[in-house]
Amino acid sequence: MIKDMKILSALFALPLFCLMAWAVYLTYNRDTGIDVRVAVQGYDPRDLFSGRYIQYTIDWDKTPCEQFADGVCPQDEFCAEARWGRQCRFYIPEEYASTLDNLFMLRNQNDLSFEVIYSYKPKKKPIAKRLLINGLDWREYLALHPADEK
Amino acid sequence: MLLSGKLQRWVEQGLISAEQSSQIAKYEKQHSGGMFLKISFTLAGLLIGLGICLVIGANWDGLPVMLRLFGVFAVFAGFIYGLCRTYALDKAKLREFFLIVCSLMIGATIGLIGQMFNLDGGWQSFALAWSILALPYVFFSRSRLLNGAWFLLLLSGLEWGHFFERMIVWWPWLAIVKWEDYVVPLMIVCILFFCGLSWIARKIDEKIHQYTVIGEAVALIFMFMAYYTLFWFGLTQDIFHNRYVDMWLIRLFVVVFLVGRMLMAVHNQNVVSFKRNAFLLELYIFAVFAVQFSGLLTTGIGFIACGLLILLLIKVLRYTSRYIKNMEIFND
Repeated sequence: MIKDMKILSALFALPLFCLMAWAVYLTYNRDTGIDVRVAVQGYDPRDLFSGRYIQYTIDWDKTPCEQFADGVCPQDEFCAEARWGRQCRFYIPEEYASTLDNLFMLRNQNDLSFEVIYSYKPKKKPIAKRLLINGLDWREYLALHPADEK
Repeated sequence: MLLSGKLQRWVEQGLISAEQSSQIAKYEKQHSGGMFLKISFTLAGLLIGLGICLVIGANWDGLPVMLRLFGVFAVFAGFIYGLCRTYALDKAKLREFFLIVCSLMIGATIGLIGQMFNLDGGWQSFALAWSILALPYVFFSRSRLLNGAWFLLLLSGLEWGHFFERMIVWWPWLAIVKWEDYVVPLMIVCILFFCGLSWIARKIDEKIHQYTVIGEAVALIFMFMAYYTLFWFGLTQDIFHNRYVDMWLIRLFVVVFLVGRMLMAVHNQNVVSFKRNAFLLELYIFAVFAVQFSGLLTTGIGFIACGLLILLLIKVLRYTSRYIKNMEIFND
């Protein structure tokens, strides 16, 4: 068995270094990618707001593809393949989950548009950065429309 | 009865000498509390680790992103330092605490990074990453609980259930036959397959047990899977598939399997295993009757019959226990 404390310590610290490297890699990708704005729609048939994250899928019909290279939307690079199509997540604080859920469900009646800003680099996994409601960050929107927060 | 009382009685009966009595008392004094400490440290490790996971999961929005990330890494590094110190100080039981916390910290950190970067990977990728990164801690732990939980996490990450389902249903040779007609033989193959895997894990464990208990935990889990499949299928076959031959085939297999395990227990002089399988056989027979006559539970007579059956079962189990204790096939 391993008796050398240095080897043992290195072995125990290895998972921590792997996680740190992963976090650094994701931070680098997020900060060096270009911002793209995509329209989102409900992910059927499951609930949109499961606990503290929003589940959605990207509405490519409403997303301008000019923001990508060659004007082509790289649909396969966004989100993860799930049972009923590609599914994405945006994490939100628990206390706002039901508010955002209601706003999202009634978006057509209230004429609201939901979009997500991604940090995008070709051939890399895009990272969701911000959720927009009518072009405003969702926090700003809720601050400007306190009645919607009920 | 307390150990001191027992020792005094054994000395009076001439079973042990006064010197042996004092030696036993001294040994017990040195080693008593081991199990208590081990359980306490395991429980504390589980509570603290799960607590950190819950705190990170619930309060992630209250702190700035970088602070959260550095905070969780600093806490994790602190636990790793503590773990290394237990080796320097030779504190084996405290080590288990740190190994459990570090294993749980992996899951908490992956979860936090997933939240911060809005990652959309599902449970499988999360479980797989967690189980791979937790391996160094699990490998050095002597806790069967941690090792077993880790193995289940790994199976979950590998989509074991899905893989197994596919293996049974979509094997090419099964495509040419109607597999539903062969459910019972397939289940028997599955149970034997689990037993085989358990046997292999047990053999590997014999070689590596001094280093890690992963082999033992894996062997136990596969054996549990075999028993679970055996009983689940042995009791539900006649409900789901009303086929007379299948029903009796699986019932016969359950009995043969348990009797076989009892014979193996005799061969290995394992009285605990013998007793367990004998009890399970009796419970199975009782459960078959209960399932068969469950329709009677709509009547008062049925309730009385069921109550009497339970009393009979208790009587039989107690008789079996007493009988096994006096069996001559076990040397001690």
